[in-house]
Amino acid sequence: MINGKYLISELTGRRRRSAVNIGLVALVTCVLVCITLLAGALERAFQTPLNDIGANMTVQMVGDVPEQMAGPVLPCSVAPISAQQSNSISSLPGIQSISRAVLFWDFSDDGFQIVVGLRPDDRAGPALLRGSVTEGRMLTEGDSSLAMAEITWAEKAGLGPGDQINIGGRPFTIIGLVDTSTISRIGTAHLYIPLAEAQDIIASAPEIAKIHTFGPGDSNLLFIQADRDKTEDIASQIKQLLGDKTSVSTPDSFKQLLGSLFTLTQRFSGMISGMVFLLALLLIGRNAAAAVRERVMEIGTMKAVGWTGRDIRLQMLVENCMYIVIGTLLGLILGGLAAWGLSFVSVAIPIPWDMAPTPHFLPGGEEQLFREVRLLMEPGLQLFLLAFFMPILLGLAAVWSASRNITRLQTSEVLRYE
Amino acid sequence: MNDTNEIKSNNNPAIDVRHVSKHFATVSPVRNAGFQIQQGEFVTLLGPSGSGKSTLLGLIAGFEQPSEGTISLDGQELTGLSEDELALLRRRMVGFVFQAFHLIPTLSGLENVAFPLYPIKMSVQERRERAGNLLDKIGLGNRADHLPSRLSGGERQRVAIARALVNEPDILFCDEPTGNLDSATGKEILNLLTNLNREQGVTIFMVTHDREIAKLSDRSLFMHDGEVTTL
Repeated sequence: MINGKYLISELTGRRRRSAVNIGLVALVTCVLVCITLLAGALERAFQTPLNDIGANMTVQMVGDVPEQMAGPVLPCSVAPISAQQSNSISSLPGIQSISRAVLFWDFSDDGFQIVVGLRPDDRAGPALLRGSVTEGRMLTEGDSSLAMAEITWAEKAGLGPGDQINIGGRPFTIIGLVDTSTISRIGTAHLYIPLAEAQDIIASAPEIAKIHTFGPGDSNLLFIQADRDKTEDIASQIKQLLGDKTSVSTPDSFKQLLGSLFTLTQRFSGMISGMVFLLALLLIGRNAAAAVRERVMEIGTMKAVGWTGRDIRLQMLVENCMYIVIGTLLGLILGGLAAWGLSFVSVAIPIPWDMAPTPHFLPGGEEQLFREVRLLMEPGLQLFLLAFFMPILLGLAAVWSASRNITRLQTSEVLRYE
Repeated sequence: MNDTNEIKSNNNPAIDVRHVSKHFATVSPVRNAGFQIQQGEFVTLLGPSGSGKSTLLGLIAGFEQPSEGTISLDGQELTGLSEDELALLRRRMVGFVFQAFHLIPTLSGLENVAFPLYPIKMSVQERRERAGNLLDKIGLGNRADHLPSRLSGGERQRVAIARALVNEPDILFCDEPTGNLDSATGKEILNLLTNLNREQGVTIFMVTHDREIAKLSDRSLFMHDGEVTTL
């Protein structure tokens, strides 16, 4: 039978011991909460550049560098992918949809522009710009000789809706402006035109014909929606299918770009959590044993006045449970606050040049593009399991350790006077 | 302990020790001890330090099992009982007074007196009443809420005696109960114990090395080199 008065007197009367035990549990809980939330937030952050464009992965082919920068040319990172290759990819298990696009550079005497051909009804890729139209309207299926312009580029060029522009030697009318600054920079361009017209321009471009064969229905950028847990498998299957020159980007590709710290945090978060937890188990067990040793006389007195081993163990169990429950709650609050603080931190995820190619030789061409992503802390099942099972395991460790020491304790210790 | 002055009428000796020895690896602190203490007797166990007094007390109280021999309390043989069974037996019929008081430092005087009752199903009010009455009897009613650290040595020992009596035991074991007190306070404590024995018939078995204390008891046993003799 537990006596509340004795329990509270032990918790409040031995403040140092209570503070150490509660503090230890709180610290461990806080660290584990932070690691768990941070790992989840980083995982989501790495997916952001692709999520922005509604895809799990992108596929490109590496090709030759254009011999001459004149008229429409294909950057070396986006060589043609034939319609047949695209169809082979779409038949792979786990693929949900493929959106095709064509990205090209268009050089003229007046200057240079990056152009993307898209299908306005696609579920992924540049078609998602429909949510970023700031003026005018988005391209629709069946539009012809119409284009959308990126707002910053258009402002610099002094263009707006209704203005005429020349792309690949053909006239286009700007019908809308889009702001790409808030989304991923993958496959972004200065101008967006219907896919069929972009394919026509590429198929008839003399500089492209010198080094590539671009047939009807071909493209050079694929945005793929696939089963999230199969992305890495599908990526390797695509590489096998298309050959060595294939470049497949997945969330893991972005992890690698961020360098060792984030990769380590990600890869070893489970191991770090496990080590912290093991350390906590050892310390809690050690503290429980120390608490028993510290109370040798008290426990001896308990036995002497008629407390059974079960009575004593129950008392110790409830005392340790109180430490662990209070410590866990405190740790969850502290961990939550720390996670809230971390949620204001942003990670700059680099976008590889290959995925948003600009000519190196032009001003700003070598500038590294980044996607700033705030670390969003979302408590999930893992955190719930942690909050539920960790106190139980810590409690068991404490009770096991305390019980072991109580059993070893000699009641006759109380007769020793020092 | 009875509420009246009735002396226990049970025929069994309160303490019955037969051929008891305790051997450790190289020493035998108790060797072939044998004696009986009747209900309501006040017996002291004298002897110099290291003579085995505390070991014998530990054996009789069931803190340790003897290597040889048998020990019975009020006809109940201790040999073969588990630790928990011995604890329950102590709860039912034994009270303890230690030289070092062994009060729980985080509990008040009243809560310390009630401490042996904590594992027993009993209302808080009844527990407080029993503990409060005992504190009143020993003249510490006004110190009930004080922590042990705020009590004098004599007051602490009186709280310890009240704690030993709260289970209404038949036998009171005292291990040098005045050893930690000045002589005046020691006398007060001894008066309290002898009154308990005479007025309420509590059997007292007291370990001491003080021959003056022994004079207050009904009879004394002497222990030397592990052997018990009657004085």
